[in-house]
Amino acid sequence: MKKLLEVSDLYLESHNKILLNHVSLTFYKGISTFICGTSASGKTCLLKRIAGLGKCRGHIKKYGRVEVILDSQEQDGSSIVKDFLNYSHLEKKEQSVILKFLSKTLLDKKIDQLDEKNKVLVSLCQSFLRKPDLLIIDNLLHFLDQKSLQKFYDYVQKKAITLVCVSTDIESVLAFHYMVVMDKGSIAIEGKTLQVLKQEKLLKRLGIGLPFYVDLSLQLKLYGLIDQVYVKKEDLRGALWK
Amino acid sequence: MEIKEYIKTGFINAFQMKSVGKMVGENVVCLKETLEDETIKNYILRRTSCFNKRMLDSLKLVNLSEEILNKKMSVLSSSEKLKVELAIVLILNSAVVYLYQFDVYFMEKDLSYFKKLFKKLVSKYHKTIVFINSKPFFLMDFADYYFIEKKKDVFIEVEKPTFYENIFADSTDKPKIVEFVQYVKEKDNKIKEYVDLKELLKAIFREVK
Repeated sequence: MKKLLEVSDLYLESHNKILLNHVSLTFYKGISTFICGTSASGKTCLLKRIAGLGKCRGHIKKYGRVEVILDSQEQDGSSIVKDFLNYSHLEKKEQSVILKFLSKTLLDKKIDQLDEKNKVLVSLCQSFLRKPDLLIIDNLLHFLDQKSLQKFYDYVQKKAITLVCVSTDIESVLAFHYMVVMDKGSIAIEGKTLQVLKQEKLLKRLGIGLPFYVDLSLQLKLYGLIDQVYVKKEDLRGALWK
Repeated sequence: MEIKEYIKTGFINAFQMKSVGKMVGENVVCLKETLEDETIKNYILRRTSCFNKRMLDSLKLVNLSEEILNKKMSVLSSSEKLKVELAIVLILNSAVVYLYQFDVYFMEKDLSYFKKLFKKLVSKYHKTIVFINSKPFFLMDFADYYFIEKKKDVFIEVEKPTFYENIFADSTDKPKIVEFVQYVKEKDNKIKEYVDLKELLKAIFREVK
């Protein structure tokens, strides 16, 4: 598998508190990753270092075009969306990427006038124009409704962009191949998503809930009503009402 | 219409209540523009003119330690910044607290803690908490009143909704428990409309065993 990004042994301390404790992670092409953790577990701190904001000990090696969208990323609110995205100077193909996500009327508005959803879409469009191999997003997909989210996932898949998302929305984890749970600046658990989710006691101790279908399946399994974890309503109902 | 006209004792929630969301008043808990080099202590002092036991108590209430006071705003995560904003509102002792998309920044453990805190603020300190959310389902079994934006500045009031009614049931962002129960019912399996996983589990056990 082709490596896209490798972080090794990242260490950062501030005010006698360890913010990143020898964090090592490798992101591979085609393997989407979900990163979560409770408040101040080091998620955003890790992303900021990957984005090149602030120093720390350790190594970060990029093997492709890596884009990081932070939730604290400042957008010049007084800019018109069209100017911000340099729309008039883009090729038709690039303009069509923007129009997939934003309506023409929105392009003439100031960024300040947009709601959160559309501000996130502007940031995503800006990143898509840079044609990333790896797109890392910090807790922003929450602001998208189901329709926009699906459009986003479809586009990412079509363009073979590998996705890494930091999120508190545990329901969305099932869309990812790999899951990383951070705690107090360290990686507490990592692995294939469903395998990590099956460690429910450990996750609970780390303050992480489970997606509804996984939670329900695990408890039904405990009662002997089903014999495996289901992540879709059709499969779970089918297994219960045979 | 003024939101205050609606407020009764209890919790209120709303879909995209933009008019309130844009109101960045002292009693609105949301991420605000800050001076990155400013320490937390100076930021709170600038906003509240208060440095006494009340400040320390408020920090403790929102699960922040005193040590954070000497840190700069730039090193805080978004969730820590929101906790600071909530502490400020508590120091100011506002009767109504507005929380804008608050749940987005926290995971289950933190949210459970804050739900308990908000209940205490309502019952013990008689505060009114207004959640302004595009996806209000994290408060499914929690809020007393919901104001749903139909059109700009037009709201429907719903008291203790079941989440199986009208606008909630038709939403594409409905909670997974609602989605599952609706699907099972569509397939003619007998099951009541639950919003609590344990209750649903018991019902399934009774039904399929």
